[in-house]
Amino acid sequence: MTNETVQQKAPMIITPAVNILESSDTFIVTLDIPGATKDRIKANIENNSLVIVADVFHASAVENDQSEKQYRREFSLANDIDVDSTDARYDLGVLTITLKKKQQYVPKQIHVN
Amino acid sequence: MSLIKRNSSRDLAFWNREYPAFRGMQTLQHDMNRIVDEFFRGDLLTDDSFFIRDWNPAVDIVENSDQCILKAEIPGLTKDDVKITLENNVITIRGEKKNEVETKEGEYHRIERRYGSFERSFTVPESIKMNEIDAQYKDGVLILTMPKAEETKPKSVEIKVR
Repeated sequence: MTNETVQQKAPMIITPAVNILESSDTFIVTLDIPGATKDRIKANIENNSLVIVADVFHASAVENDQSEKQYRREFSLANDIDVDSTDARYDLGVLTITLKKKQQYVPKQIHVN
Repeated sequence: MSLIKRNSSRDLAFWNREYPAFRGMQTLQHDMNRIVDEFFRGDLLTDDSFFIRDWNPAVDIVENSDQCILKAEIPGLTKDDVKITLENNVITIRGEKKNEVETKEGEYHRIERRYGSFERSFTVPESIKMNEIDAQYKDGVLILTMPKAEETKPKSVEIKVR
């Protein structure tokens, strides 16, 4: 009677907090996704948008593959992103994605003689 | 704040399953709750934290017949950045996340992640074995496992029908 099990069919979808930092040659996207497991984080670039989906599982429910909640966030990318040199790291519940700008868009300083 | 058992979320699960559009509502509800929680968690009257808001990590507390489990989301902190103390039945979690926004070069388009120091305290029920509280930290989540003393566990006795 006290332990009523609840079968949640749909995971709670959470919009993670994000920082976006632009420097002269990169965009760095940092997301807080605490509890996510590294190999269950999906980051895809499709049609000029970056989609991040990460599942968090109940500690006790590894076998039945039922996720407790899901982080989900989508970003539109600027045209000058070099999608092939994207780098992603996950550490301490923080996902860091580094997007490089295409070379020709990097502003060049011209030395004045 | 004490450990109070939450109501069953069976009704929510039903709505989620039967009406997919409701899932969006639940997300919205969650975001609204978060905003309201963050608003009221700040000590509005005691200091400046309402305007210079420090960080108040989200916490889940689950209780079953054997133990209480407290989960705190503190992404970006290392194990050594967190201090946990137990004093007179009050467990306190403290930590600080350094603000990297001030140190990095470039232009920020969005800054939603929280920085600063935090402190959250919880009253632990008498039924918990205080010296057997265990803390683990993984992937930005701190998990405190608090086992209950044997005598306080609900006893179940099967009664045979003759």
